[in-house]
Amino acid sequence: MVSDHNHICWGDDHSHHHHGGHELAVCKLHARYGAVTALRDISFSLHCGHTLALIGPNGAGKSTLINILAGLRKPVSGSILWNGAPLHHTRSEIAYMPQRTDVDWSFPITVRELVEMGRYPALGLWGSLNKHDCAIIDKALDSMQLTHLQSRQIEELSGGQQQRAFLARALAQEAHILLLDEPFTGLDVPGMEALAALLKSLANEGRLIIASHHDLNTAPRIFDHALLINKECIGFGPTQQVLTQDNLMAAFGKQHITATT
Amino acid sequence: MNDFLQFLGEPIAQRSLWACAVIGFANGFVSALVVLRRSALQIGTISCALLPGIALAILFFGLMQLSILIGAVIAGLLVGLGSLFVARTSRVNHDTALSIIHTTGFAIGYIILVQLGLQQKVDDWLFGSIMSMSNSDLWIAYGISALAILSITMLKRPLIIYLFDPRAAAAIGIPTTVFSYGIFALIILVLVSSLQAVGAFLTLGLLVAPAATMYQLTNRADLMFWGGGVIGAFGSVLAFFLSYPLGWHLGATIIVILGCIFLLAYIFSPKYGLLRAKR
Repeated sequence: MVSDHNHICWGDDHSHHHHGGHELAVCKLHARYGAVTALRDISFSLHCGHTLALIGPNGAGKSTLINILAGLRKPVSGSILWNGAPLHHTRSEIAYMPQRTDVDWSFPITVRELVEMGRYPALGLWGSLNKHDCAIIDKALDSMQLTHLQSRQIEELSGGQQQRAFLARALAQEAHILLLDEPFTGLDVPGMEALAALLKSLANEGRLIIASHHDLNTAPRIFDHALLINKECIGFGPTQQVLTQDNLMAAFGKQHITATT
Repeated sequence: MNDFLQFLGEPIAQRSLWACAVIGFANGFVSALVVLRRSALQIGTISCALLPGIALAILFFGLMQLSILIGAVIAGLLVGLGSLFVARTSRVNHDTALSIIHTTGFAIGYIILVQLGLQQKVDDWLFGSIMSMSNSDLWIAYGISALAILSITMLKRPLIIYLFDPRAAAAIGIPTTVFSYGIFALIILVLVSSLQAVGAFLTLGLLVAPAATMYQLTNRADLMFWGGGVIGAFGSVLAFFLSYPLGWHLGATIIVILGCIFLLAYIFSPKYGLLRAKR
């Protein structure tokens, strides 16, 4: 069994409460590239069980924010707390999923080995996979319906299967927070709907899903919360309430008007 | 044939044979890093850029094994990091900067070595000469080989995650900056150890062909390392036995054999070869 400390909290979407929290709180985040401000005064907080879209025009700082949350960049100031403690003290709580185009698909690795990578934070340098780890890997493969494909090289999977393989790695890591970089880019409509349903079910199991997203039309169907940014925070809350005409004008300016008509 | 058997009895032949096996194995082992990182050409330019470092080291400190080693390491670092620096601070990209710096460095090194009257030696450094390796050369090569194999084996798990997905590796706390400099330093050390065996021009073959062959044959990253080592050692030892009767240059023979082994895998690999079952 998964130990109590690492449990993924099962429960319904909104009836879901915890004593200590399971809350991600981002407070007054500033980031800079040289002299150029990339993010200014970004604050928001969200409990697990939700799906959050990061929305904003190109160059608005979406990927900077993803990088900071993943611990790949340091902010100039501000804090990121998970259950009240700095998030990056518990790196294994967050799982990062790269963009499709950033993955070397011909790398000599099987689906199962990819999922095994998720156990690294638990195993460390020299620990070997024990029964407990193998059970978690089997379960992750099974819940992503990849058990029959586990010995395939990753290039031999379909696009949807490849995405599920990376999600299975995040599951094997037992991470509470899943961070996805533009996961819907290049998917057709059925693929998009399948991934959206999958992300929703992962959130319902008590994970917090955060993804950068560029399609304003599909965002409300996929994500229950949205963070609209353009260097600074323009709106945060339930998706429909954030993506108002006023807010979109503030974030996208004229670009938005031409894009949606 | 008797000639050859008599030659094999000589200590120098046995030493060369050992050198072939060890250097071939270590280079083949490390070649997986180069192939999985897709940095073959970069390493190629750095190997040629070692020449000016060696030349300057001889100019300042005399012809000693240690000074040559240090000069080569410094030159490799300067060219590798210098090209990154030029690329970041100007319009030219990394490949362009690397090409300019390594050819200029190579030319400077050649001029210095000819001026020093070491033209004879230049051939050895460009194409290698295992027979002329001294005892201390061999010990340095053994030491570097052991270091490379040990460190890669001990860090295998985070290393493969880093090579496959550096951003996710950083996100779960693997020190990726340390890894990228460490890999670079290790490759330069291995280059230096194989410099005397196959020379600055050909060392790239030894540091790419073995793992490239495995890449055609396997879908397991850890097999690329061990299989690369076995292919590197096998090819080098086979070249040793062929080069004497044929009268071919040993370093060049090693590279030709490894090239042929790759060609076989390229054509006949059951899964990825040219002739794989097409129905």
